[in-house]
Order: sequence, then structure tokens, then C-alpha cells
Amino acid sequence: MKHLTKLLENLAEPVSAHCDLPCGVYDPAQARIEAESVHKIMQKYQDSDDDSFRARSILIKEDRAELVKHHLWVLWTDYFKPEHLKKHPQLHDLFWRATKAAGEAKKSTDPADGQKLLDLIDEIDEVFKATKQ
Amino acid sequence: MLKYLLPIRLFSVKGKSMSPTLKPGSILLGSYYIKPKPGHVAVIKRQPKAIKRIKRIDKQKGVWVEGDNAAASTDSRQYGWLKFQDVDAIIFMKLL
Repeated sequence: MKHLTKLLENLAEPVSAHCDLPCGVYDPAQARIEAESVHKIMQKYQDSDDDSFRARSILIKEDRAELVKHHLWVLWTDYFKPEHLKKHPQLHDLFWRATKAAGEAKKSTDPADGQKLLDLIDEIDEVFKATKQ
Repeated sequence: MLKYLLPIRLFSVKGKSMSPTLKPGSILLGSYYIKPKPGHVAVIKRQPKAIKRIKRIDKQKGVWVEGDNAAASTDSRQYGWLKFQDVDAIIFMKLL
């Protein structure tokens, strides 16, 4: 029964009945920390000639980049409001480019792609800070 | 796209906004081909995909969804009416 349960869990699509209150705690720092990890992993990948290390790097980078995407989406869909978009009309395009950059960072091992992602998150952070003033 | 060719799909619940109806770890069967009705539990196309109960349907406005655990759910009370195409599947059976 345990094996069947595990099999079903592995086959099933996860759906969120997330316990978000919402608590109102949002910060681009969550996305940035994961993006810093992605960037650093890319650098370490380039610096290493150990096949096992490189293989692990790619797997872990995939996970962290997915977390970047998640944190960006939460900010975009749950924090930012129509009045923010009026003052910062570039908002949707910025999130679109940042999410695409996170996807690109999954495929790439070039630290330059990691830096592009960090730069876009910094742009989002500027808008975020402006909304807090 | 392939998943929309499958009449029945498996889903696993993460989180508590549908408690006590659906607990975290519940395994469900759902289908895209069931017509949504009030009272149905639906998988909603959000990021990440969400699971909520359909409370109201309006031909013009779409679908209004809420979590059964109202105090712990973000749903149409915050994000408004959803389009019909935002309904990814209707749950028809709880396996586990």
C-alpha cells in the first residue's frame, strides 16, 4: 500500500491548497537569494573539471531557478496591484523578462546569464521599493 | 497539451486551504471534460495550480471560487472572477 501511495504521489500533478493567509509579507529578496545561488553555481560549474560535481551543479541549479520563478510569480500575482501598474507600466514586461531569464538560467551554465537574471530582479526590487514609499 | 487528451488525471493536494474536505497529501482524480458547476471542486490554472470549490457561475463573468477553509485561503475574494478557461479540471473522486 505504501508503494502504491508513493507511486500515485509521483504520478500526480501537485495542486496548491496553500495556507496563505495572505500574511502580506513579500520581498524580492527571496527571488534574489535563489538567483544568487544560480549565478554562483554557474561560476563553480565553469571552475570545476569534476564530472560528478558538474552533474550535481546542473541538477541543483534547475531547482533553484524554479524557486526563482515561483518567488517572482508570487510577487507578481499576489503583491503588485493595478495602481502599481499605473505608476510603473513596465511591470508586466519586467516580470515576463525576469521569468524568461530564470528559464534561460536553467538551460545555461554561463554566469553571464545568471547575472542577467540578477539584474532583472534588481529592477523589480527598485519598483517594489518605490511602492513602499 | 498531451494532458488534455487524457480524460482522467491525477492530482495531489499541497496545503490546507481546502481542509477539512481535502487534507495535504490527498490524491484526487479529475477531468477537464466535466462541465463546471457550483459545488464542484476544481483545479485552477494559477501559479502554482490551485484547488478550490466553485461557489458561483455566471455566463458573463465566469467562475467564482473559494477555499473550504475560508480563513486560510486566497481565492476569488482576493483575485475576483476567473474565466471558464482558467478551470483546468473538475475533481470527481478522492483516491487517498
